[in-house]
Amino acid sequence: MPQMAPISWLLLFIIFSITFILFCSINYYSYMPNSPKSNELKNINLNSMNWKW
Amino acid sequence: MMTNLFSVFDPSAIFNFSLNWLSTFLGLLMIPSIYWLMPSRYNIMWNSILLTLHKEFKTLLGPSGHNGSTFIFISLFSLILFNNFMGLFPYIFTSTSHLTLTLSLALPLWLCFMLYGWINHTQHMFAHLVPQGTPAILMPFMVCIETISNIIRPGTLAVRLTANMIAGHLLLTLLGNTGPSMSYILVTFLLMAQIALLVLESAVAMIQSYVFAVLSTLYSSEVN
Repeated sequence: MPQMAPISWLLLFIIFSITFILFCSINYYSYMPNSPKSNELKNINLNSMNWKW
Repeated sequence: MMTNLFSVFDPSAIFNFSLNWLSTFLGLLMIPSIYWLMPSRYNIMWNSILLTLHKEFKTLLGPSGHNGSTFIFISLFSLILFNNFMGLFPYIFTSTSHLTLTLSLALPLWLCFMLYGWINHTQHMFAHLVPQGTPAILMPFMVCIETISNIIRPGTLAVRLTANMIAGHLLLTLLGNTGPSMSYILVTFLLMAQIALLVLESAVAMIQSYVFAVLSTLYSSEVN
């Protein structure tokens, strides 16, 4: 069974640790920017004469 | 050619490098990065997933948990999730079906928890060896059982994930290998069964990564 075989375990351990750190860092920087909403936009009168839209 | 039942999991070497292990990095390409200022829907979805998991793990850690300690478990979840899920696609190697990956995640984590617990909260750790309400006669046995369960934790954590992945992939390959010698009517049934199994396996991929993260969260909440 290859799952149990000790084929270059130390190297793989280092690789997986690096992968984990990479995942951590990519998740750390992901955030949701909240865009400020303008109050003036609500007052725009959308009385368009365009029949289509 | 299938030389062995487990040969689908063989790490294959190209130019004498086991480049198949590079599939561990696939998740890095799937996670939306913030090179772009405008968040896409995918970005929003990923962030909401992270936030939901954060709330979930925060309740598990309890009030004594440190700020931001859910983060490592969320990253652990995403790493295992992408490895499990991408492994279901053809020609993509499943790293999580090998004990090397799962043990290299579970063992240092457990070791850190144990060292932290026994050094900083020795009394607390000893108190955990006998659960509340244990009869006095059972106390020596409970100490033995709890000690053993504490020691085998990284093993069970790693083997649970690995065994789940191996079982799913084995089932899919075994069923798929019967295809060529079947009649056309039976092959349609086989296809339906394979699709159903694939749906099940994608569910298992998500559930097992969640279970891994939740269990490691629970283990960490026990030591402080």
